Amino acid sequence: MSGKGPFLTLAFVALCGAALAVASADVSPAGGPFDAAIEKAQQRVVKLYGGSLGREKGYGSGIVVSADGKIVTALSILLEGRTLRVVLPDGRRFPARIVARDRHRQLALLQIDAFGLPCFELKGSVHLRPGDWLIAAANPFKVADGPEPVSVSLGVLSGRTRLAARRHAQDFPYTGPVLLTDVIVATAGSAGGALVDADGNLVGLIGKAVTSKQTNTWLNYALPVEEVAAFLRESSAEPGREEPKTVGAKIIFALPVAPRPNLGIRLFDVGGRQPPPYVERVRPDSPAWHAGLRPNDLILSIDGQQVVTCADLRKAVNKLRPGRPVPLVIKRREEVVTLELTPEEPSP
Amino acid sequence: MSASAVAQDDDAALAAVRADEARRVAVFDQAAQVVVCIFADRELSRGGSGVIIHQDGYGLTNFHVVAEFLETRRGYGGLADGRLYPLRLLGIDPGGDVALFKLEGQDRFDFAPLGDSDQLHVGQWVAAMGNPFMVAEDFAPTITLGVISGLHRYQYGRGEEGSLLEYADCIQVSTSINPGNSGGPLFDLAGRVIGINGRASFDDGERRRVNVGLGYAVSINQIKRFLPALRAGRLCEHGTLGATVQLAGDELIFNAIQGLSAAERAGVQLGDELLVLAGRRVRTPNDVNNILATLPADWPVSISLRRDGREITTAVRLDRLPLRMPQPYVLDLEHNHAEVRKLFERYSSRPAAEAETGVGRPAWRCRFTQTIGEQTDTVELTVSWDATGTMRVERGGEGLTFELGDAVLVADVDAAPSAGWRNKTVWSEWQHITAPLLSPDMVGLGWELLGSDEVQGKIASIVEWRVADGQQIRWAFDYETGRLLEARVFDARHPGAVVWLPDPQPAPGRLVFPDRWTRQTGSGVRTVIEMVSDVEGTP
Amino acid sequence: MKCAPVNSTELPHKHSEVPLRRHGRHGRATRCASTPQSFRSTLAVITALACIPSLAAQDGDAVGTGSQPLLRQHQQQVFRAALRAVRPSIVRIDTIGGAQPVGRASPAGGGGAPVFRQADGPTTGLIWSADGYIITSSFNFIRDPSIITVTLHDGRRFVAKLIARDRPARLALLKIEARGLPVPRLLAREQLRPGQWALAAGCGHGSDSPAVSVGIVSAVDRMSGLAVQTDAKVSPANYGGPLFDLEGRVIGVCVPMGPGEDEIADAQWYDSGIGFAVDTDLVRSRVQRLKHGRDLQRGLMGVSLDTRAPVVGLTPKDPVDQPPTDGMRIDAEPRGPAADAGLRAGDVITRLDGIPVTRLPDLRRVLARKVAGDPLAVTYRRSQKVRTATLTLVSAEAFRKPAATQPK
Repeated sequence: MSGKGPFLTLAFVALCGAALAVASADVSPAGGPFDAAIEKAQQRVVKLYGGSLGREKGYGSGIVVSADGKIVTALSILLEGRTLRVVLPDGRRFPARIVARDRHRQLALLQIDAFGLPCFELKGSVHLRPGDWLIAAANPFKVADGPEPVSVSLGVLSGRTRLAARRHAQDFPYTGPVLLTDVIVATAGSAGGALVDADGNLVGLIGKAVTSKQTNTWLNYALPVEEVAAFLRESSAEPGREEPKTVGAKIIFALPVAPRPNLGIRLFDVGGRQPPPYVERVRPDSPAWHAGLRPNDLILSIDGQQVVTCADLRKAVNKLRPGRPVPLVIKRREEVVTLELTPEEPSP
Repeated sequence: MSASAVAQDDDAALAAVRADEARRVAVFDQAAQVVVCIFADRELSRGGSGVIIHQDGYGLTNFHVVAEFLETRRGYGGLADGRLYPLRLLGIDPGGDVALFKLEGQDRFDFAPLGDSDQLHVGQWVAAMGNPFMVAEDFAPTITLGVISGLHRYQYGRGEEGSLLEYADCIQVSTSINPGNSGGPLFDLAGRVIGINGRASFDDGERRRVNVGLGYAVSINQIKRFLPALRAGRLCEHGTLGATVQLAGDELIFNAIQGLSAAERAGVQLGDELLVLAGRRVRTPNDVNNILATLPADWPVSISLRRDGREITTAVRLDRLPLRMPQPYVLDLEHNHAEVRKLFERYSSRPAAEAETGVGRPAWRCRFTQTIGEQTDTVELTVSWDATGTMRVERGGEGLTFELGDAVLVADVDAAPSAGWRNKTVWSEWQHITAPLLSPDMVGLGWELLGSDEVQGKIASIVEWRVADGQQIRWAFDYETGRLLEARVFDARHPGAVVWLPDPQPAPGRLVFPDRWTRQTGSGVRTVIEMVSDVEGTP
Repeated sequence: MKCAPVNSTELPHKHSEVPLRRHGRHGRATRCASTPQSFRSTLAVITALACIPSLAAQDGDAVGTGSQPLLRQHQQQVFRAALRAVRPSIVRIDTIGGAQPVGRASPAGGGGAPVFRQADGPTTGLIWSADGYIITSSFNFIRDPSIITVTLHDGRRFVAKLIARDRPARLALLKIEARGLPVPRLLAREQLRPGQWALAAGCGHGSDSPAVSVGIVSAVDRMSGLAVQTDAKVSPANYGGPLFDLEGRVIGVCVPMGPGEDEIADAQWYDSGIGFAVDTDLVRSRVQRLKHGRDLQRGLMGVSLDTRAPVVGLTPKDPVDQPPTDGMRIDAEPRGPAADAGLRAGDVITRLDGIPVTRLPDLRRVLARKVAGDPLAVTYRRSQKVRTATLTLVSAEAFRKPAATQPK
């Protein structure tokens, strides 16, 4: 088919007039229910590029938390190379430096030399209930390049739990509260991305892909915004510190220790990975003895806290306060029995 | 809120959500009827999905689904009614991973309307339908719901230069897409097809080939440009400019131009900054790729450049990006001719009664107007056809006779404008252009549905008739409405083409034989043939 | 494509179900004085909206219910209420002891991919009857645990007994010694429509309340009629838990099902957006049998059939090429029950238990509802004569000799 002619030019003019509008915003006049939230999130999520190592990918996501260029992301090998780069939603590229690391929460704080950036407010996530809409904004598989908007996906809050997970066959350091979602965010490059509610408020930071110890499945979760806020407070209070101390009343993830002597319980600790808390011996006249605990009882829960392993029991016991009676649910042969246990003051 | 107020609030919420749910259920119920479970073999052991887009049973799927039966071009399609239909492969577009099939066994099929993928927005609800993991024993499609995660996405293709199964300007979705969904439709909530699902990102190594929330669909607007060629049963090829661009700072600069390429023909020079391509502002090489990879070979594109501070606009037809197929994809001429006939058959010859009785076509009073420069002359005359298609033009006792198949002599026209109504070339051309509209059965050897082109801003089906050595006529039909947009007459001995424009139809949707035809040549001579009334007097 | 108006009888929310039963704070169904009124307004709203087909031409969220933000807030409100409604009947299951099975069949087509291992966390079950029967998934017991405990919504904990497993449906029945337990409302399969909201809930993540996933009904008749398909995320976190609708009515019990051979193989497709729940009608019939305490196995006939589906419009050159239109032809000598019943190669099976079976899905659907030990009436045609035979289905173990063709 040869020949230009008047019709070609006509076509060009018509098309040009219609389409010179800048094609970056993805919001159409027709409108959808999540447009505003998506717009907000996409403006505040950045793309990260850095070094890769083995299975660790060299790309990820991050969230802007201050107008002057503070970015929070997941702690990762990709941050450690010399070529750490942040790409803003408008496509501008900046080198980034790490100003703080939190090995417990697996978070990192970056700084770029920019200003006037749209940023997330760190309000809270307690208003969310299971079933509430959540939007994930991140760059899995680095699908988006340069100024292209990051990917968004929709789901709900599934629930909340404390994280007990593994990453690459090792225990994952963070064991604090997490938001569970049914949006699949356990994908390469999503960590550090934003989880926002239907109004566009940040409620969580997408975590690194881990396998749940509870289900042996890839877990779709985010660190609640409260944890991110706590991280920022700690890193600004003590700039440059790598290992923040325990804050407030948070439980320190302690190594398993023997139960405090004043309870009087000796467990069948037969080793292996996760032995259940069977009672071997009860010291006479101890609080456990007074409660009615007997050898061969299996402890099911203490003070309302389910315990499935010896380690669970030790953790639960650490939280007990002397003088305060707590329910102790046990299984004795085929029966389930509830006892009352009152811990004593530790002996000097 | 009081307990009863809470109750009423809950009831109102439930009612609203139920109503919205019911709307969606109704739309999905309709849409599911047009989804095809495609199988390559009679044992139904492997296949994918597809969707019917035309009442004659034409449907879309991925090329990689039909690649399984490329040789036989025969497969099977199951519909939600539980029945299995024979499936015939027509056109293929390996570059874009699209193919067109025809379901047989029924005169008429339910079909889905096509949407407009340029009107989509991120976050809107979409549904994918198909046969993932082949669990649809009864061919009722699996429906998954999600949102649009991204637009204008790019997924690398395979093969040399990555041009096979390349997904440019594609739609990224969060609906669950799994093996078996390939070729199936992506619907908006109004039940319009906005894409064909074909790829997904999988976490290879860590998990198996299972959906992780990123699926990709070929946009329907890309597919629309290839539909005429797919209907023709052709192997489609994509276009290329024959040049590359790179980012220099914020500017997109041409850094390589192949000799004899479209870019060179367009006058593009090294160092030019590319601003707008095919009507879209471009900022990155990805933007350019996203546009070019969705266009057919030979497609006309406009290019806007900046050179030394000046803005230059040019236009050119894209080159072919050649495909290396293991075997040539032979054109099924019989099917192709049937498609040509369908295009002409949509026009009813007027009046139909005479054509049906075969008594002979009527005679028509016509007005012949010729304009050269400022001068316009009009005469009235009579045109009649006999049963064999021979045409006779008469005025005041003087007559000219034309047989179909006589060479269309472009040479005469400008040399003898004084011939006026006696200009044999004009009448011969008009006879040949209108003949198939009156008698679609004449379509046979020498005819071909070539494919698609952009004509008057619309996607058009192009039909060609090689009337004689070096002489062809090409008709352009609007793919969407079937309306004839123009007809062009080519003669190898003369550059350019003569263009005939039928008048736009007054009533959209009805295709009636055009009353008025305007002929334009490169030298500025304009001729109009207008059918005023039949000889008995009725217009 | 025309848009047919939806009249009120097609809606999943049947007005005959009204009054809308709400679960008040105490979990009891309450019939408020205001209910008849709200019913009328509900019906009016649904009918009015449903009969305006042109509304479907817009983006579904944008019209009919007022301003946009309201619908997504309403959806959240309804999802929360649905979870509240079904929650009392969801139980948490903890197991102690047992071992991962060894030498489990590798997944079909997996070729070296790791077999899924059940983890140590809690799992989920659903109260089936007020006297303590709990339905759950057999996946949760592949380790044959020595101790099973069930914790109710109110925190009470019981020791549970595993009564029996349903192998083909991936179900398991437990019993606890309790009375007056909250039983969920059920939804019948014929009320289901593809596209309606479907929520899955389970306790597998160990949090205080069940975790929920929201999706839709993807198909109503899958796995030979055993299951409903959903794109809600179904995984070990909710196997054994309910799939339910906007009002907390249970659609089915979530189980691992898929292209694999058993629940472990199928569990690999978790969270894929392809999830299955055994429908409540089937659960009801299976619970009756599981109560007897014996595991249920798939019932086999012993026939190998020409499974090709007839193709519409194909004129067969060779009559043998096109399968019979009135039934399914046996294409090899039958074994086991079919052989004992006198069936032979070449016979065309036209009905099973009186139900016409012209295509493989028809046949599978009848068989899937049955288990080994069940009787089956087979109507068949042999050279123009129609006969009936009754046979007893057997389990796969009954076929000792390996055969070239797989018995159906």
